[in-house]
Amino acid sequence: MATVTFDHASRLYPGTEKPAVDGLNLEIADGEFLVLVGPSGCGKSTSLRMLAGLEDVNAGRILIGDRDVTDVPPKDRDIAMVFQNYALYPHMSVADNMGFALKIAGVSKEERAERVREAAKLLDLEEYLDRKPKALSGGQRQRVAMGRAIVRNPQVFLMDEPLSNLDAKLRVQTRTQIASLTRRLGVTTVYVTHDQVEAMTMGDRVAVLKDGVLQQVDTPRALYDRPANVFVAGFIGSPAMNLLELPVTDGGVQFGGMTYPVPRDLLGEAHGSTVTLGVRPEDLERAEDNHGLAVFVDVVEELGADAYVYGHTEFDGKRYEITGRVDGRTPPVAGSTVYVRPKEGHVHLFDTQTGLRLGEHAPGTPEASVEDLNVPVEAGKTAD
Amino acid sequence: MKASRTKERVTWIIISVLVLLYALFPVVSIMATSFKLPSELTSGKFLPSSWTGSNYEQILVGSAQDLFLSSLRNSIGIALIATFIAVVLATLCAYAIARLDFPGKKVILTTALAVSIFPVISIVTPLFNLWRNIGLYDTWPGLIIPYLSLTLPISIWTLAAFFRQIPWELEQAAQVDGATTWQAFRKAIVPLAAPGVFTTAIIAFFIAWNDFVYGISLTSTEAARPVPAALAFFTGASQFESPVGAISAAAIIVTIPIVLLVLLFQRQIVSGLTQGAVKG
Amino acid sequence: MTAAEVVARDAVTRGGTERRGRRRPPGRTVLRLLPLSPAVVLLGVFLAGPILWAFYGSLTNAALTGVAAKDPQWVGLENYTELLSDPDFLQSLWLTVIFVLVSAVLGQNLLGLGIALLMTKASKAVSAVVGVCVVAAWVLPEIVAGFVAYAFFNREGTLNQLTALFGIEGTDWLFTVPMLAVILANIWRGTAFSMMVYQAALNDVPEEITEAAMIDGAGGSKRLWYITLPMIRRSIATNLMLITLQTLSVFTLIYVMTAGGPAGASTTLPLMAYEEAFRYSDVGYGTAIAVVMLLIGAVFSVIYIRALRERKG
Repeated sequence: MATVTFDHASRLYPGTEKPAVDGLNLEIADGEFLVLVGPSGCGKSTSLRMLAGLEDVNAGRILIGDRDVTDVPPKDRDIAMVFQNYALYPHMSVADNMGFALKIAGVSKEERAERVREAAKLLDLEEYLDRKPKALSGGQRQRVAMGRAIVRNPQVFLMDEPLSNLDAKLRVQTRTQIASLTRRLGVTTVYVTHDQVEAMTMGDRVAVLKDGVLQQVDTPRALYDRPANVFVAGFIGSPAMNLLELPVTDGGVQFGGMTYPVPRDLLGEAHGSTVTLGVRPEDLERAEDNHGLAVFVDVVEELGADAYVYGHTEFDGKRYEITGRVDGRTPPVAGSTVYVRPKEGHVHLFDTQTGLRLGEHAPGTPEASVEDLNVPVEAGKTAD
Repeated sequence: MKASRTKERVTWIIISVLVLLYALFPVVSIMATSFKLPSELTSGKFLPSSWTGSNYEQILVGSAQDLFLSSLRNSIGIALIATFIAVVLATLCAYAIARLDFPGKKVILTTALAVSIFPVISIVTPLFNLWRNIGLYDTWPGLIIPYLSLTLPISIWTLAAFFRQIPWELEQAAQVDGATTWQAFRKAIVPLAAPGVFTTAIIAFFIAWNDFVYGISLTSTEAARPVPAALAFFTGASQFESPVGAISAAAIIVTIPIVLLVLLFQRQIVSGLTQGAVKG
Repeated sequence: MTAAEVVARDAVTRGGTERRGRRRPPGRTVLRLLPLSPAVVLLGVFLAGPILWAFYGSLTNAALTGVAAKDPQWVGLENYTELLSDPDFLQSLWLTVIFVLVSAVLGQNLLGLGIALLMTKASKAVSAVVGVCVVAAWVLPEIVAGFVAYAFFNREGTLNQLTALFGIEGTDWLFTVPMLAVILANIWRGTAFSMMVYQAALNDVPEEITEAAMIDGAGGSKRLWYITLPMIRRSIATNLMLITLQTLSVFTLIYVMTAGGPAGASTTLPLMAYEEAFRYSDVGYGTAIAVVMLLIGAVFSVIYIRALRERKG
């Protein structure tokens, strides 16, 4: 058990100009489950591999506990890793796979067998101990990969998209198993995924990366409620937040035929003539009195309890795609027009040029509260 | 880790250089010999003190010309023809083996490989007698046929392994997309099979090209004698004396194109052979 | 219908609706065997045929000249019993086994593996060059390779030039240590094949597994022994089998270098077969030797296959 620290860590592949990981600063507490999430190529796997020692660190340091492990080979870092494709040794039985590291470390046969048995029990693998990996299903192989990591009792668990190769149902099931298991063991875990749902449900904290740069690291709740920039806002939450680039007018932003009021000091922070306004689909409500934004409904997805409405609205010659969530029992019909407005206090504003949240001075630091933006929509003017 | 990585790398480079020397050295020495004057051949010096092209002259336009150039012609012709036929036959065979199910499949493959290692020396005599009787002695077909027996087993084996790797569903997919059976085969399968066939051809060519025993035993004049056999005749008797220079020059001429081939196609050759060895 | 059409039709219908039964029209098997036939016939006539004749010949006293040439007599297993009591044969057998074990099983195999491992670590450029050089040695016609080796090892040869640099006067290596010389030459020539096989096999080992082993705490040599080698076990067996069989029948190389001498000191079985058949004109005897070689090859193959099968599954 130990803390993990990335100290301005960077990785630049030879022959490329842009670093794969650019000055990553991250402190992970002892026992914390931290998720690294982001789109393909954002550097999350690379960061994990840097921690594992499988990638060179071109700048900065990596620390496990108080120990600078930047130049330490993987075998001496006391870490365990679960690979995306499990990387089980095909010529060894499950028991041998799980006990391999212990064998290398010189642990006695009896103790090895004991620890393997314990881990197998934890993961419900006892009856498979003598099988070879090719005789196992995907889910079983995944558990063996986890068992291999658990048996070692390492300081840090590293997991590289361990659920990607499982089918959807198994994924959900295993997700909870992993989360509860690591909680029970209390080992610091660094988990990489591209799936933001996994990130939100499993992590104590989630670090969002894009193009090698850390965008925001915070609890899932904070990421959801107060995304620090446009990217995080659009990445977290499914379906994605509606992000509309709206022209700035006197006193607010031009939203269709209406002016949505915005406090002057926030407006002042913004660069350029537009501001990006964000509102989540679940934060849009129907305006009964037809005083709201008119949205032409293109597609309705009925998912039982909820329905998602995909539509668009047009003004000033620009077309805006809007996604909204409504009660699944009374969904609108495709082709109709609905009027929506954001719920009070659930609007996010971002600087169009920098992408940063307006009213904040640094990502991940809650300052100006969203309630400042809690201004009702002006009745009267309707959109065409 | 960085410091030790560099040290590791340097060690590997040193070892690589040593290996390089070991592999290259004899070849370089032959090259050096080919440029030496006859008087220098036993001088014990590595490099010629005066470089001369006389050996090359001798074999290309001089006294050994008949012997050498005709053998070159023979080798190229015979090897190419044998390769072509071998590839065609092996493709048919391998296709059937890889795709169809019939009794005795494994047996055929294994037997083919097993008989191919029978020492050529011992087969030569019956073949020699047979050829004399039916008039194939000292002819091109007289060599092509034994070369086929040399190259077919390994070609079939290699191609069968290659074909086994091809996803045949592509053919069905093409048919569903509206292609006729033949079109599906041509458009979907042939491009995938082409590398395997090409590699097999190269391997077969090498085997045919390098043969010595058949070439020596089943020919008697320049009509059909291939290069490796001709090289033996440079010596005359079994005393390797003055012709060594000429032999070296001939060896270089014969080897350079092959080395170039290897250079260009090494990746394919490796994967071709190992498809058979690793996955067969 | 071409074979392709037969196959395609089968493939489509197999995956399609249920058919009434699995009745195979008798013509189908014949049709399927058709593409094989040219190759099989050819091999049958020109390879198997001579081999069978050779088998038969070994049971006669056939010769190249003389009475026995025109009218060979059946002698049954006499050639074979003679072999077993022939000290030359036994020595040749012994030399052959040594030759195969040392130059192939140990030399080419280990060296090829070593070079292949080396190439995984080295840069692309380096391994490309090394690869080409090693392969070039392999594609040299055997006779040229024989000349090269001869030029290297003989009294005025390059080896002695090198030792002269250190002030040591060398002997005629071909005369004093003929087996060593031919073994070294064969290793030089044939390593490329093993190298290529292992290169591909090592390539097939997924990088992730090596990384997992690294994280599990295994350093280079432990990784090699516990993970890498077991994973390429099949290739090792195949490689050993192929190079053993090939080395067993090496003829030209040795003949050019030492002609089997001095006094039979480097006469392996192929050379002895040749001598008996062509020099002493006792074809029957020579062919019997060849048959013995085949048996030895078979024995080695069985050993390898067994060794591989044991650990499977």
